[in-house]
Amino acid sequence: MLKSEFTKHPALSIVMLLIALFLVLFLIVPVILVVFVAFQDVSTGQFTLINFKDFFNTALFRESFWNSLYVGLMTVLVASAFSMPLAYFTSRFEFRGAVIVQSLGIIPLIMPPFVGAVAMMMLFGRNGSVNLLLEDWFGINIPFMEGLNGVIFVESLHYFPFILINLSAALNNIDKSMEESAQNLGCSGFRLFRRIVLPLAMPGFMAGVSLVFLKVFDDLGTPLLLNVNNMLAPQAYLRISTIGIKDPMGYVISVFLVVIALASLWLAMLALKGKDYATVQKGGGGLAKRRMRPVEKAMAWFIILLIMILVLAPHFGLTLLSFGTIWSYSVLPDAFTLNNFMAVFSETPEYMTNTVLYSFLAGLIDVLLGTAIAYIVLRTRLAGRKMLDYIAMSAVAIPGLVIGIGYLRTFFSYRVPWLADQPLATWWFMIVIALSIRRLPYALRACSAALQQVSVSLEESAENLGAHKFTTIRKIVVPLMAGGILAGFVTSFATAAVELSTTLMLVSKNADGPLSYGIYVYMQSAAGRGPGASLGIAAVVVVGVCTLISHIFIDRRQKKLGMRQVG
Amino acid sequence: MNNNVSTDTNGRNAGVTLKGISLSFGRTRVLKGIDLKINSGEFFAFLGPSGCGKTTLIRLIAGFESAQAGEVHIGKQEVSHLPPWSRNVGMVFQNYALWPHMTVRRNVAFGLEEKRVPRNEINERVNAALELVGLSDLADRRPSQLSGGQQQRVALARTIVIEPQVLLLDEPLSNLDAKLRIQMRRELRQLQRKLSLTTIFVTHDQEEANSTADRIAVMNDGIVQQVGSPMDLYDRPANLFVAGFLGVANVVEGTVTLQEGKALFRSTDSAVAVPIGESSAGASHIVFRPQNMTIHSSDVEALPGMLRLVGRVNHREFLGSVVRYRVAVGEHFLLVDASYQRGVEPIAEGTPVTLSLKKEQIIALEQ
Repeated sequence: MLKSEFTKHPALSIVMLLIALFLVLFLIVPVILVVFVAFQDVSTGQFTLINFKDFFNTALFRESFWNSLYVGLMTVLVASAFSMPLAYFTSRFEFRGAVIVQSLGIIPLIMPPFVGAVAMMMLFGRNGSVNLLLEDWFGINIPFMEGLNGVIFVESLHYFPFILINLSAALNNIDKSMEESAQNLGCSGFRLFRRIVLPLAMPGFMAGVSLVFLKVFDDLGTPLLLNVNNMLAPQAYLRISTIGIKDPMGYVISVFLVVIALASLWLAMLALKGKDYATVQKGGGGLAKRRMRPVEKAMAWFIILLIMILVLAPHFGLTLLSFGTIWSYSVLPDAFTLNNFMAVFSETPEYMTNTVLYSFLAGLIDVLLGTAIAYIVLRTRLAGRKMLDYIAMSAVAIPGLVIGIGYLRTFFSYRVPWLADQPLATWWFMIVIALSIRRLPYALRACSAALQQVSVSLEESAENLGAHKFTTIRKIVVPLMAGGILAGFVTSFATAAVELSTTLMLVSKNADGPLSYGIYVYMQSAAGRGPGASLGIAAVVVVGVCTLISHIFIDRRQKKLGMRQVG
Repeated sequence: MNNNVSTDTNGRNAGVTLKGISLSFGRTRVLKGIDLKINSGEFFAFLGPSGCGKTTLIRLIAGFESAQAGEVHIGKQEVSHLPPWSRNVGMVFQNYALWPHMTVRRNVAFGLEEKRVPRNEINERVNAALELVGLSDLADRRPSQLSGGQQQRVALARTIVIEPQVLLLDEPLSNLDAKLRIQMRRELRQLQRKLSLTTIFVTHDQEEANSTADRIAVMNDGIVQQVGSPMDLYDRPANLFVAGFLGVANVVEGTVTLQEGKALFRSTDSAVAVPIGESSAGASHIVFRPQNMTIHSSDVEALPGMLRLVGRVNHREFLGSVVRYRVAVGEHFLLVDASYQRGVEPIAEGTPVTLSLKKEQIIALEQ
């Protein structure tokens, strides 16, 4: 059986082996090594739990652990609080503002949380614009950005779209007849919501919430830029970067991060398991929508306005910072200038050029791997292909920090011959590989979805007319997948451009740094905030444009080929 | 203050009266002036093709749609303004709409919980309802673990348990396979008789309507074409649509002329000529059923009171219980059903044949 499959697809089998090798080398080995080291005695190399004991004996680490949990949970709560009214309005009422709500959902996504963190500090910090005004008018000072609050605030603003989208989708999937049959039996209003609508929307909601918790727990950039160091991720980074890669604490923390990540994903999967409540019936899904009374309309618009102001705050703050000269202890910057942009593009253009280079290469690797894996999984019966899929997807559970630490540990002792014996771990191409591994799951999903749209009969008819496998793939399959592949490339590009956790660990000198690193470096000093913000604007523009392109590409391509929407 | 539908004197059942119902969705007129009276305890069918408005009508009675004009009465009460949860009619949806996050028992208990019935009474009534539909041992399962037929019974139990005044069924059998459909329609009928529950059910299948309903309202294009018992509609259709919808029909177009003082219906190609009564003097079509004609492979004399037609077998279809012949008569193709007997060879295609039909079997229509 194994043999016959191999002979059927000789070339693809080799490709599969190569991909497996790549994944093992650059994903599995580093992560396993990290776990290994955490359980290893530093001096003897024996298996031990002493590192974990040391961890829990240290007050700072205990505090960090609970803080990370606290921040994760609070973010989920606050983000849910933002999304529930919006999801409610769009799913229950005929509401003209639905389009605004949808775009409200996308705006935070184009700016990674750490980019806006300092800007938010300028606006909402103890001496920020809002508090200065509040002091003047009311004599009060609200600790929006004090310590952990700041992290929670910034993260919730950034992540509430995930929850909003999940919640809306869950509500829209509820079949109308679920609600009508309850009404028919005497139920209405809040009772109906509590007994029928909420339980049916819960699984989708829980799945979204678990993923947000995971991402917040792992986030390195935001706490660092807000100077909040008593959380797990910053602690790991600080230990490794100040003490070195021999320090076991960084690895211990990595183990915790991975365990929590896996637990969150498992929870999400559990929530959705066997509860496919989405039914496609005559008359369509979604709850019955009713007209809003004037009072309700006013309230709805008010809430949306409030949320919109908050959602645009980081962008607004960032813009002010980037165009401002000096901005401290004042509501607005002293003056406006283009100098920041000039400085950034003339003095340190390598941040931009590196970003374009790294992200392009990472995106390329991702779509090549993604297409190959998708084809192998969906079109062949090669043994172990499901395993390949799982391993590629498992990168989603590995926090960027852990990959960074893993690469440092795994590849440090190898030297790169053609670069004057520089350690392999600090070679810039490793950053590219790390980025591609991190983004591979998403690219793979995009390619899979694209391939599933292409009927097998299209390939078979080509083969029937004499085309070999690779000719068919080249001439038929890939062109038909093009929209999805392009979308996958563009999203890989965009997300790689603003990735920080892994990049911070792996960048050894400023000249090698991409945009995200540049922002981090600049934001360390008060004088650098302006240029840092300019870089931030550049990052937002890059991500925004990529998102737009990817949407246009998919939409136009699908319409042209008369195919259903991908994703 | 009781804003709900009150039960009438015999405690439960009520008739339904619709007066002048007109309903449009935007520009589309879906119901155009519906007047219907459904009697208490009746098993009534709304029969018609897709898009005729029958589902909209039943949803109107349940309160999920509002008419722009007209009234809905349940029992003696006008309910047009009442929301669905106050109407005390039980509706079984086409997809059953069982809540997947609740067990069978919780699903069935739902309506009673909404009525604030005490817990022990709920348990009693739920058990009774489940027993009535034969699902007592599946009470603790989830809907996803049940077959289609079982799900339908749960949906039924769920509505019956609240003792509604009217039971509404929206194409209850269309999602079941053929055998199950026949079994379930029998069970539905038995259940309805046992409870004497006024029942309205919607279907596009004339066989279903014919076999179960006391009376049928045939609908097309938002208008009630005719109301009557199945046999009434079958034997005395009011128009061509009803004639064709209730069963296979041979339709011949023609005109009535007077010959020697007698009215004669003559088809356009003169192949068919039938004397008809004066009351049908304006007839433009005649209709007769395949099973009422007799087919002979040899020539047969015209007997008094019988119509004799001559033709040739064009096509023969073996349907198991009957053999259906498609016979060319003049320009017409007529369908003739002959009961199939094992061992008797049916007539071959191409054979010249004689058809005979009793004149009483001919229906004259004016459209």
